[in-house]
Amino acid sequence: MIEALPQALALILTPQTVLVGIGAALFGLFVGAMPGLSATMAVALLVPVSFFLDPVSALTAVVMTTAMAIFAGDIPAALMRIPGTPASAAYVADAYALTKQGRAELALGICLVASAIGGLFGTAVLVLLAPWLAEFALRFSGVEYFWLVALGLSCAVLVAGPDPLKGAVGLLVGLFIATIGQDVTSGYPRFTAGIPNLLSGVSFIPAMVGMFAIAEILRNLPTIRTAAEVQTRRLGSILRGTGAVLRRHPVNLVRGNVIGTAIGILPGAGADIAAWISYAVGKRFSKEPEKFGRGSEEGLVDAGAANNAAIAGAWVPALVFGIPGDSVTAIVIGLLLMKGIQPGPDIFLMNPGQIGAVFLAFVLANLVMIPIGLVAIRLCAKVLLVPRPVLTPLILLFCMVGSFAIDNDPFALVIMAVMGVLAWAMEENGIPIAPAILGIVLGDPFEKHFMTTMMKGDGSLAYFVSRPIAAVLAAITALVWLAILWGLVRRKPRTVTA
Amino acid sequence: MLTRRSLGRAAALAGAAALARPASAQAYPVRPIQFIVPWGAGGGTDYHSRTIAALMERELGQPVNVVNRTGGSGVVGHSAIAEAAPDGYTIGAVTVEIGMMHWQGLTRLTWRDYTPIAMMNLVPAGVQVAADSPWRTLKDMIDAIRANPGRYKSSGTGQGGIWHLAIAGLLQSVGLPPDAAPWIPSDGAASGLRELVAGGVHIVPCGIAEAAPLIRAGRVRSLAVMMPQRLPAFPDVPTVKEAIGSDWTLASYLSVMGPKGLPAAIARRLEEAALKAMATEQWKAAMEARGFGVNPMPAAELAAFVEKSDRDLGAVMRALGLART
Amino acid sequence: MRLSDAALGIVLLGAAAAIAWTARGFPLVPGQAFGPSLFPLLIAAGFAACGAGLIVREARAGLRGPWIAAGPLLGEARARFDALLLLGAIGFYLAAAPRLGFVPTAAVMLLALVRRFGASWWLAVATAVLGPLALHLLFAEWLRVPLPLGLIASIRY
Repeated sequence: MIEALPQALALILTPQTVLVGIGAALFGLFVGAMPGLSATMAVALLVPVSFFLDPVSALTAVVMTTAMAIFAGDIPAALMRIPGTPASAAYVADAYALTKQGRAELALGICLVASAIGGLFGTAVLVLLAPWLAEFALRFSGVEYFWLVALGLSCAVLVAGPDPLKGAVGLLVGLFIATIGQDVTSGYPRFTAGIPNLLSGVSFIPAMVGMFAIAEILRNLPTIRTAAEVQTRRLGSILRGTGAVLRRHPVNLVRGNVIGTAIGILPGAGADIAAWISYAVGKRFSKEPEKFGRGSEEGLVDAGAANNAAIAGAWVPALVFGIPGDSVTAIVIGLLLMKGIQPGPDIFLMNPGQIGAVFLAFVLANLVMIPIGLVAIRLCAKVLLVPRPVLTPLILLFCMVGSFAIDNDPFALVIMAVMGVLAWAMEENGIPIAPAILGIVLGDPFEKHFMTTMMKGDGSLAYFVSRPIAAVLAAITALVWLAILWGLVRRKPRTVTA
Repeated sequence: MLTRRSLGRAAALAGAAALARPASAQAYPVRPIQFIVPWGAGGGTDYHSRTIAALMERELGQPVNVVNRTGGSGVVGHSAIAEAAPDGYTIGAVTVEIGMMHWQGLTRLTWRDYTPIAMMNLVPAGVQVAADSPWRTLKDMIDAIRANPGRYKSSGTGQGGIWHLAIAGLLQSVGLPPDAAPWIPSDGAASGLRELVAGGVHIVPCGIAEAAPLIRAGRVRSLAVMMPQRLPAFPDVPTVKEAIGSDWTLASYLSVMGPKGLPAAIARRLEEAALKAMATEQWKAAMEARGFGVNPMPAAELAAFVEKSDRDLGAVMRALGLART
Repeated sequence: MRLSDAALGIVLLGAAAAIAWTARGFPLVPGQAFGPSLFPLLIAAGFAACGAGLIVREARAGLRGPWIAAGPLLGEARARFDALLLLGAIGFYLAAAPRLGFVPTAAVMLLALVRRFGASWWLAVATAVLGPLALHLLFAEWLRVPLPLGLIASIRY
């Protein structure tokens, strides 16, 4: 790979590529910061433009756009409690809590720098180990994914909050919402009330926007006419404050990177599960687990690093086998083929310069992210100065447009409103939202992989541990549960409910 | 984009059009056209649609905006095209599922609720197995299934999806029960192929183009293609007829259609633009790059094709017990 | 609206019964002993267990306090009306936007809400005029999101 460096540099340092790259970075930042607009949509909009670009510029544009969009999704998450992606939903409570404490710039600074470091780590792994890792990822069939999802769901117990019983209720609400729509095994429509828009399930982004943002707006209505409770304490230097936080939690940073990259490589698992597992692991091993969900800097470091590390990971199976890890890489494969680059194990031998340039684009994207991101944070934090009677209706409008834009379906507004009221009622009664979101994200794959595994094994449960990797993952899941139960018994034996 | 003069003219026309619809076809189109795609970004339909939209934009002189209306297993997007005003400003990609969903009782929409414009492509099904599979030919596979019905699993789309029908019809055509290779539902061809390579299933009868990267990477082998002739992109892969003598063929299709009742002049203008777009070098290059063929078809031929496909799919679905109507 | 644990438990038991009742009619997967009803039934069982747990927990602590309390949003007449207006605004948008278009509908919505929340008239008007236009420019013109054009269509084209 190293031999290709000069060639790659020459390819990427052309005026066209540099201009395209900067343009794409700004575009990704903008799209990502708009609630509801996803990195996938940004990349899809690039496709017609890429007809007119050379391969390296086109791929640089995609890399820049995705990296910036995923980070920028943290901006509305922190400032307005509107997570742009399921990945940032893992830590939206913490980022927003910091904002309420007047430390919005610090929260976003942590997200930014952790993102950039995670991205660089993921890229380094991609460069060094891509073919080997892709080989490993290819051994994951439905059974292995089942155990991975089971592991992710077990984490729900760890993010449940102070009342485990109500945490379980939250998780069940999420799992129930996930069952709405056509059943995976038979196509039978469940709980759809005859509404065709619900056939493929409750659309995720509108549900998430509703559960976080609309619920938050409703909760704050009684105090809307009083002066802002959010005070803006301006940081001297975002970077210095962030640096201090990161130096305090080096273990979290490394752990987030490793978990993010490892899970990101598995096609279809990706950044979402990575962020949640990393967050839960962070909480489990933290000295102050009670802070998680209430503005924990540690949680931000863990999950923020993991989801960006996962982005580069998703490219591994895409480049080496043409298997998309998510919808962004599905478009990337199309672009590669259109530009005459064949994904395959020999992609590094056949196109060393071009693929090297893509790697360089990853590195540059994560470096450029810091200065552009800092400016964006400073500008966006000004949003908090807008008086609440004006800001609240505008946020509502943003939520509506964003929910609509994800599927271009007005029905998304209904989903958003219903979920908002539901989440508000849940929070009023002490039922946490985070496990519900996790339930919605993982409910579908959990059921799907369980059902298809049963079908593949002709109804035999032994099939679940019949493959080596599946057996190992099953053992890890079992260990997690032993640890949870042991912790419960040891900590407070009285409150364990039957 | 819009010059001041054309803007003024357009405003005047729109004013007139508001009084006397339908707008005259000479002026059409005066504003951007919406191209609805019922499936998500990154898939095959999305790829075709974005490519043709960019090329039709040049022919029509107005932006053609691709809009993904996903959800409802394709019902939502297909309904949005059918229910749009038939003024030529909303068209979209209508896919093979339009001939399947109504049999399943998911919607009442059929292809008769649309004005056919042009065929974008046919996606022929292939029979794919993992590279380490013991089956070298389609005959080996059929013999193995005959010896052990129910043992070998197939996958590649949801229950009752197009590729499910592909394998069921193939098995039925050689006298096997259609569920002799039980179907394991998956999100789509990509995740089905992933299962195949990981050893979770044995057969993935998906569009051969979708398997192309894995075939090139030496991970997947295609035993046969369900077409009357071999495909230029895969000259070594025999047809089903050559391999086992069965006449079974199946191809998914992607077409451009508008809502029912599109004025004839507007429909013709769109058909011309679509056919011109598909005659360009860019279209050929884009299709070849992903292993798709180039199969443009004018509106009249498309209508006949879709009608036949609808009937054939209904027959297979009834045989499988998937039809509810 | 704040329910006591026991009341919440009763709600959950009701939900469990409703889910189980609906799921009972789902078909089986051919050739398997289970089907689309398996997971909903498990979830219903979970709800029932949690509901029972909550009731038992409160019963042990001795049923004190009210079964249901209004909470800050529903307890205050003004906040209650605010909430209704907010949800009503979403409903208004859904009903009016296809015909009027995004910009006018959103403008009416913003004007009503901003004014209601106590901002001055000029601030409310400024928000109602500039907000929807800016959003239309960003989403509809640049990002090609198909926001309903409505009245705008005849002005723009």
